[in-house]
Amino acid sequence: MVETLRDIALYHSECLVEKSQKGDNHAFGKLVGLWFKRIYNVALKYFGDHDLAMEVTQRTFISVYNNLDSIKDVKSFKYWLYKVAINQCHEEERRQKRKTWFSIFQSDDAKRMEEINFQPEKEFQRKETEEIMSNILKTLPEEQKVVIIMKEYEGMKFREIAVTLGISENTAKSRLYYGLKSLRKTIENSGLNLEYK
Amino acid sequence: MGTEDFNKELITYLYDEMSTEERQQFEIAMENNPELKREFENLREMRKGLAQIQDKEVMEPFFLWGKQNSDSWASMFKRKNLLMFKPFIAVAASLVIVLLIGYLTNFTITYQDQSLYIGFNKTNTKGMETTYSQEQVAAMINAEIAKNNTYIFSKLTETENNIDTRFASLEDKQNSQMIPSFAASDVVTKKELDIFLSNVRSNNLKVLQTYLQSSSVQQQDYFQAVLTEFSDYMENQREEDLRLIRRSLITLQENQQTQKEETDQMLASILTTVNDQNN
Repeated sequence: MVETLRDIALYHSECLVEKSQKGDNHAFGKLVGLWFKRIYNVALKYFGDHDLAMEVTQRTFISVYNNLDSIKDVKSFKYWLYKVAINQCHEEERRQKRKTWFSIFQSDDAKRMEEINFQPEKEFQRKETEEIMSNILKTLPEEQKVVIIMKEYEGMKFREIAVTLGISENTAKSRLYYGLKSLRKTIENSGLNLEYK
Repeated sequence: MGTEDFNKELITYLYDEMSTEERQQFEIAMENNPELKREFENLREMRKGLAQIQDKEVMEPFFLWGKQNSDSWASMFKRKNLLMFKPFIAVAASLVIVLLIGYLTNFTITYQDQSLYIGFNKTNTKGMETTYSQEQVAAMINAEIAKNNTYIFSKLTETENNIDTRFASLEDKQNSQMIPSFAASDVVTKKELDIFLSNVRSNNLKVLQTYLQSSSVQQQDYFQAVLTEFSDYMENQREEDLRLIRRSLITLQENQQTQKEETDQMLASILTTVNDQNN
């Protein structure tokens, strides 16, 4: 029984997954079109970088395509997709860390964070609030960041987050709480005085 | 209730996932606990901050839906950028190669005087089939007519000579027939002379009429034959030109196809090399 637009979209996704599993590549193309923006934005908030977000999104859909047959229950496709995307984010972050370790110079992101920490007024004048928030979000530990993204931007229920990440609801709530606290602490330590509309 | 539990309740309330009863109880608890309320306000403020980060619009990459299997899909994603531009690169490369070869070999296609010239190096009209202008065709026809007239004139002269000869022989014959009568009488009357002249005139007239009719028919047949031959000649030349153009276009198409295949092979080779390096 479908009721809301969200339900309709999910039902449509499930139909497309079933068709894709039967080898209908056109259906898979539609499935990619349906979810590409969501997965891209998850990755974008995770990394704050368009190129990395695109890379992760594409890797996610490659993985989805290669493992379509492993989906036994199409109703869980949404959780499974987010799980694949988050795993891809983790892998990409590890790759980036290896690159940074081998690199003589610090990455641009690290430099940017230092600027935020040490020259807050200048940074605040130069950048939009959105970019600052995005950069601060990136500094959170992975597990907290993922829960914040899923809850705040993907609008998932705690139950859905728990299913996706394979954790309990209480753990999800706890990570979210400490994530938000950590964000606030970072902003306060940076001396930023953000005014939100 | 411990601090940890309080925090979880706070988060559940913050994201509006409490039942009505739970919410009422929590609101009462918050009214009695200023520190909890302040904590709630801080978290709510933080959510406002996070709400500043908006979703970004993005276009999913363009994928080709040809023969797909697991490997091709994966490789398609990996080579997305190149694949997106591959057709354009191939076309552009083919075009550049064709233009370059055309430039180096002085490949020319010109349309001039209702003629299409396709060739390499400098246009050498000497070796080509010449085409004729309207004036040239008129001159050719006039020359043929003059030639025909000469022929007719010669035939006419010949026929005239024949007629003269035949007339002379006929005259001799008639004379020989008449001479005995003249000889018998030794006197030619005026009436006999008139009859003789009248016969001669009528014979002459018949011969001349026959000659003119014969000549006219011959001339007409000859002129028709000339026109037919000329028409056949022009038709053959046109067909030959069309065959030449068709052959040239086929050769050009084959060259382009070959160049395109070579470009594709080169691109595939580059892709393989890049993929191997990445792996």
